[in-house]
Amino acid sequence: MKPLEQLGREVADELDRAPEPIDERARARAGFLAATGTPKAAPRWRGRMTIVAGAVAAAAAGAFWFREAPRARITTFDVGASTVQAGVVGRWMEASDAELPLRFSDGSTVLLTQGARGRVDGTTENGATLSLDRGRAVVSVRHQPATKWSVVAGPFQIAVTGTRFNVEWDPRVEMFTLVMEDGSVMVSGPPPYEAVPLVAGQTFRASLAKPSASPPASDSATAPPPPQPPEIGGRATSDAPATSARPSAEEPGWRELAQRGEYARAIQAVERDGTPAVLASASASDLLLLGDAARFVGKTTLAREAYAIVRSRFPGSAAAAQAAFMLGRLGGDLVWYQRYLAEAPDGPLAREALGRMLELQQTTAPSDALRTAKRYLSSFPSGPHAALAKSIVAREQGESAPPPSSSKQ
Amino acid sequence: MTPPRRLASVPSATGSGRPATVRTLAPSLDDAGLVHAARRGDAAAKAAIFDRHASRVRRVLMRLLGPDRDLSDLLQDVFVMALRDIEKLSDPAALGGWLAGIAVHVARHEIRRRTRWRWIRFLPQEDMPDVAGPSADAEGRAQVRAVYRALDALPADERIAFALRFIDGMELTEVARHCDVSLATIKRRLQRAEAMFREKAGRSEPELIARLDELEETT
Repeated sequence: MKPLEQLGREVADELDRAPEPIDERARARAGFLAATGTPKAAPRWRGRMTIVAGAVAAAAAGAFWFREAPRARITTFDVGASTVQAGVVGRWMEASDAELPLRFSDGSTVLLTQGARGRVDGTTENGATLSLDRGRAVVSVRHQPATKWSVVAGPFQIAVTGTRFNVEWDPRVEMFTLVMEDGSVMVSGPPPYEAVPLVAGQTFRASLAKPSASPPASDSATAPPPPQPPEIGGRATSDAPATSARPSAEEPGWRELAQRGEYARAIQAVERDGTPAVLASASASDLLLLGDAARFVGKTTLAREAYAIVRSRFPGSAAAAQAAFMLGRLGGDLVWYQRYLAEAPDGPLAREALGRMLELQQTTAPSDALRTAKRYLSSFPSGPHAALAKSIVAREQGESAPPPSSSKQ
Repeated sequence: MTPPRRLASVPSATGSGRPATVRTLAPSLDDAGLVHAARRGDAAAKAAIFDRHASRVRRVLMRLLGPDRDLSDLLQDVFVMALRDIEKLSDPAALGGWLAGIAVHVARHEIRRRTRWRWIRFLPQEDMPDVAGPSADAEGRAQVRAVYRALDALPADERIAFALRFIDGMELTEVARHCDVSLATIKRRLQRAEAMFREKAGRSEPELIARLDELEETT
């Protein structure tokens, strides 16, 4: 193998080992479904230039953008309070020092409150799609025939026909809040937050960090039924994030550090806060995050402890199944992969669990490997371990006819 | 028979404010079936296409661009573009490869866009998101960052070819197909890419050169 090929393989292995950011896929999925739900949806070509870059640069950027990605841009918008400039689809906007208003040609308005960050992902003749990366936005959509707006906040999506509401997404604690003032919307998010209709006077709150007891609160007696959360143990929690996970004003908390990929500092923060206290108060998702952070800095004992607590405190939950997978990954232990598959046969890690089982079984338990290989090929014929599975099946079929006893399952 | 799997619900297409119907789809539906359903506007099929292929698409993007804060957006772009052009997919059974091709296209567009806008400095290299592995291999992570720093100096076409061949491990014919050029062209492009990569690494990534030298000795 050429040195560059070897180097490339090392890079690929390292990239493959990197954990996927918690809500990366959910955000992409929500945005994709929101965008393809509208006619003539176009990908968002976006940039990172901030408003601070100046009005001249912004205008130039806008012209450039539209040359590069022509789209059916029917609804237009302006940005700014004292200094108004044409809005540019796809550009992140930060209300860093003060509120930032957006005024749309259809009469709708969006106010990014101080600290919020958002962008217009696309516009059609009937509305627009917005993304709220963080902070709170006050949205007022003017109702017209065929009005169709969509707001994506974190992994949540709000379908709007004409209404007024406040929406907030706090990525640090994965908290989504929607306060309805007028009209109606439909909110959907990752399971278990499936489509929920909301009307004026209602508030919807969802904490991905603590889904087990975060039903949508309501300001009225006619609150919609809370989304049924997944079974994540029976531990009752409040809407407030765990104390240990909440970053202080002076210094970010361990959770924020871990989410930023600063795993060593995150673990230091955990130790400073008191590891037993953190472990005792953390939610299932926090424990998984803590386990991952510990794993990445080589603190495998702490990682095992965090995953084990997930399993003992949240039995039967999706998080517990994920913890089983991580325990298998930590120790290369077949049993944990089998547990994962037993608990989450169609889970997001099922393919990986089966593949890793295959790797382990091919040397230690060839007959089991054959069964696993067939199962793998049946479920994931194009998966990354398909070649290995095929070779195991081919070898078995080529070497000998199955003995009579092997037909017994 | 396996019961139909419940897929994620999507908002009502009419935006009527009423709860969306949760659609069901047979889990055994193959790619061709999903493509046909998506062409009919079936929202559940669109979601299923994403769920089935997001991992592979993400991996292609990651290998072309390296650790990237915008990966979520780019992942979304690939699928939006795919759905927009799904009528152009001549072989619906080849959906996976077609999506990978779109991922290459999106990555190339992104690389070119960033190159043009480098004067504004979107993402300082120091801010490049780290990668982490179970081995907590700081050296490995540093190597990844160094490789992508060196790749940043390459033109988009050369960078794409390099990443597909050496990082993704594609065969030359596959690389040529994804880059939409002939085999001879891709060979020349890879030669250029390799030379530019070594030149850039030689100037600013001594650890990378040292690693390549080590590998030279062992091969």
